[in-house]
Amino acid sequence: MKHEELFLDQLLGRTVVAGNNRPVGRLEEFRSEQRGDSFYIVEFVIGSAGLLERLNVGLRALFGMSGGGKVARWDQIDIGDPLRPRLTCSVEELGTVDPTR
Amino acid sequence: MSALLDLLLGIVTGIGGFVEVGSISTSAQAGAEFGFQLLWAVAVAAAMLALLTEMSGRLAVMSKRTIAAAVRERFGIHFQAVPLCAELVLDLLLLTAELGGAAIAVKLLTGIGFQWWVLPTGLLLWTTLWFSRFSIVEYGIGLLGLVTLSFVLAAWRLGPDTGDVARGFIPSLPSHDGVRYAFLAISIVGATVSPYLLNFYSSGTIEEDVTPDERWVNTATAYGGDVFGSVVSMGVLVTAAMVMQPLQIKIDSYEQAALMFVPAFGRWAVGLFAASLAIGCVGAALEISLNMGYMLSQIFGWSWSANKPRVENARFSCAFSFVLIAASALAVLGFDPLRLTMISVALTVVVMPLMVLPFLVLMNDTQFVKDQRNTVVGNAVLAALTVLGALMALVVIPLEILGG
Amino acid sequence: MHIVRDLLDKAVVDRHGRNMGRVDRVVIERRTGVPPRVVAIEIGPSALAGRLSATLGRWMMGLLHGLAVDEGQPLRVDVNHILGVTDTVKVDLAFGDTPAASVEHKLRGLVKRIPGAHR
Repeated sequence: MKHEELFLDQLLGRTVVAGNNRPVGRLEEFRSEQRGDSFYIVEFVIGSAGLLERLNVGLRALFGMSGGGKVARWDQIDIGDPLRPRLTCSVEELGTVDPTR
Repeated sequence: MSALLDLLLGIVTGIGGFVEVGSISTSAQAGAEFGFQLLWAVAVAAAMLALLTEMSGRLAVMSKRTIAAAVRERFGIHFQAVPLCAELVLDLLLLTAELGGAAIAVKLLTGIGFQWWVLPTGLLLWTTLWFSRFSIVEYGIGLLGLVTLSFVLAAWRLGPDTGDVARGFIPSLPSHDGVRYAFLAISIVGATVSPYLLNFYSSGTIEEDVTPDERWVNTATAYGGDVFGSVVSMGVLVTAAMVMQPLQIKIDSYEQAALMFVPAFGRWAVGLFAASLAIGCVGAALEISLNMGYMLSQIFGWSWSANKPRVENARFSCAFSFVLIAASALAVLGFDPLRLTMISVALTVVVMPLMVLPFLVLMNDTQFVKDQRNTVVGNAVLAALTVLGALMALVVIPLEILGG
Repeated sequence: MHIVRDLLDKAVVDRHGRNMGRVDRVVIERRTGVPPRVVAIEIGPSALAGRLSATLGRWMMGLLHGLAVDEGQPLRVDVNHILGVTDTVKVDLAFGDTPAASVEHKLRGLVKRIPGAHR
């Protein structure tokens, strides 16, 4: 297995592109699951809703906005080049942000 | 200490600690040039400060975090870097102005140039911070600061027409120099709603270990202290309006401002004015310095507390010491304290939107304020303040150039 | 756990509850075929500066190195030392044992010579 270390902030805020190089949104949050002693990043939150993720409820409550962002599973994004993360699936296959999570 | 005593001390501190070099200079100039016409600006500024102070306290009580810490955690360092750098510059300038103001007060009493008094004043301030616990600093400022009630006493003794004073609370267009009027109105806000005050208040709330059950004390102190404290600023404005405006004296220096006490206090005028200016400035200088230690420690995660021995929190102790040394060095260079004050006040206004905006998010985030979120009214007022702050920020520099 | 919301920039405390700083950077490891994994957090001025810009990070490291503060390297805490993530990130270390304490210790050396520092 190939492995490589990088800083989370190298990915944070990067624009994710789809297969046709169309920008999908910015990486704003990384949802992880604890398995044993480790935390595995299982989902990437993309787009303006990701910013709301970071701000956690406040703005939504103020402006009555709902989701609007997208969620990619870890296997739906290629972060081989942290400056240029790309989807490995189509945009339609992405999930949407659940405001209650 | 019972909650009621805490409240009383908190309000006294709010009154005694309200005026400092910024509010004295802006209110005095406003009174001298526009009579009672800008009293509404003092009232609006005080209301803004009270609202933001209460929120800072509530945030600290419910989340055990100050604003600086909460902004770092919620918005990240990229967002915080901008207001942090702005506030470092601003606080240094303001501290320099306060040191200058205190030094001028001593000059008024001794006749010896103010630059000679900067280093002794700086040393006195540092010694006070070095050897005192938080409550000594805070309540000391408040109690000593009651001497600034001389401004209220002077205003009362001059016997202004109550109808005229009351009309000053209704915003009106000036009969002359609209640009200067607008600039002074905005400057009064900038002098009152200082960023350091909010973080200092939230830090103090944590130093005093205020629990959620006692949050009513926070609310009452914030509103009571700031509203009653603003009466002192109004005293400055009314006194200047009664004494300086009829003689058409524009206030160009603090030495000149001292004249406003002569009709009310006769031979006590210079002494009382000097004491009020000195204590007001010293109090603010102590808060600004201590807040620098608080702010840097909270943002970078160092231990902090004015209630622990200085050696236990060496980075915190060095931070507030260093800013005092730097400001003293700047003040010794002899920049005109009044000019410096007006520049600091304008810069405060420029920074203000960045200060107010985080509150919109933090005060509605249950992770921080739990069930003590803002009401709809509170949010509406806060949103209006943010917009107002942004508008003021846009116009203050052009106004300063045109009318300052 | 949401890494940006719950981990990054949070206060870090040692096993005794003493402040150790903040999570200035998060290190992740990517491998083909498995989800990326959080491996460590970094604490220290050079980590924070590096997050703002790579150049600033290098300057900060150089500055700290020049001031003889552990070659300017940030403190790296492996994820298996993280005891829990709640309001703060609690780690299974003692502040005094860490290189991050050296700035505090150096300054204490200076501060304790000033009268009144122990009151």
